[in-house]
Amino acid sequence: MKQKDQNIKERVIKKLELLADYQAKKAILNKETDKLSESVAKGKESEEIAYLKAKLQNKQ
Amino acid sequence: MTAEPQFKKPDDLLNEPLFGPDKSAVTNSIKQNRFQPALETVKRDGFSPSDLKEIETAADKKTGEITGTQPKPDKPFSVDQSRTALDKTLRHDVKRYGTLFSPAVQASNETLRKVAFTKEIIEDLKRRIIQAKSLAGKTRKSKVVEALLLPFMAIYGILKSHKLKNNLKEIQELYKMANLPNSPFGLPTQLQADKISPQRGSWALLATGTAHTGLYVAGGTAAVAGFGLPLAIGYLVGIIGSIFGYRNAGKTRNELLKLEGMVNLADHHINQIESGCQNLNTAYETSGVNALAELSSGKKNMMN
Repeated sequence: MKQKDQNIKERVIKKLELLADYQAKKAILNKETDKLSESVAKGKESEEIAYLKAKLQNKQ
Repeated sequence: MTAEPQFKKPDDLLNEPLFGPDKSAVTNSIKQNRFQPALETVKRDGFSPSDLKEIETAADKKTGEITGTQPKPDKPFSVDQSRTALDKTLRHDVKRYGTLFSPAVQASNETLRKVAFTKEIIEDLKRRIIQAKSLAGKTRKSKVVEALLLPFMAIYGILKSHKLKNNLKEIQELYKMANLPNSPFGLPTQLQADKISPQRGSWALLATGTAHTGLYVAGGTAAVAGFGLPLAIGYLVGIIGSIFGYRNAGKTRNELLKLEGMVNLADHHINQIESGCQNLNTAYETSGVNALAELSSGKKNMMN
């Protein structure tokens, strides 16, 4: 009986560890995604790049 | 002397175990996505098997919410099932991150390829402008010699004018290829200056050179025949033509200098774009690599 109790405790701990781990990784991913979205938005703002791309695309 | 009190940061407090073996506090904590304090509390002894079962149900329910896979009634997830479901969800999120990341990098790389193409044209333009400047200078000098009544130099003038004309044509073609007119780089709409345009400027040089030769030949023939006036007229027209040719070659040279300045400016801007794209790529790469590295190290920990 004691072994069974110990098993359930270990299982619960493992499951909570998995959830905590998922949450930590998800937080990293969200942070990186925000950073990336910001960079993409800044990249889109560059008129020079847009101009050059458009002009050269017409020529190729 | 007393030590200053040490205050914990809010993040540390959030991760601290909840007080006592309180089953409701733990299940509430799970519901509120505060897994770390729930975990720390469960690690302490004091929960009965029935408490632990309720906590497990709460954890399974949360895993189901996150992954979209609910456990069957009265049959909790196994640890492996939880791990697989959470891992799959995380992979899906990473993939979404990848789709956001990839078009930006592709666009940036595409711009870099175009920058390289434009840089080649600009290099060629610079080289040809230097050649044309030298040819314009030589043409100008040849007109001075022409004016000093050395008829054979008219041939030299024609040859230089012809070479200059071809060079200017190349410059015009390259300029069109780079398609830089109306650009934010401050280049003019067209190759201004009939002085630079092969159709006008150098044709004029060529035409005056040809006219000179004809007139010198006519003048020389007339002189042999003993006619002084046609000789004088022939030389006079030749000198006037040389003066125009001299001025035209000078203007061509000045326009080439202006064009050179503008091309250098374009070169500067294109280098800035290139370095901007490279920085952007590095930033994407770093953030992507950081995210994936952290995720993969987290995954390893999870597996251990």
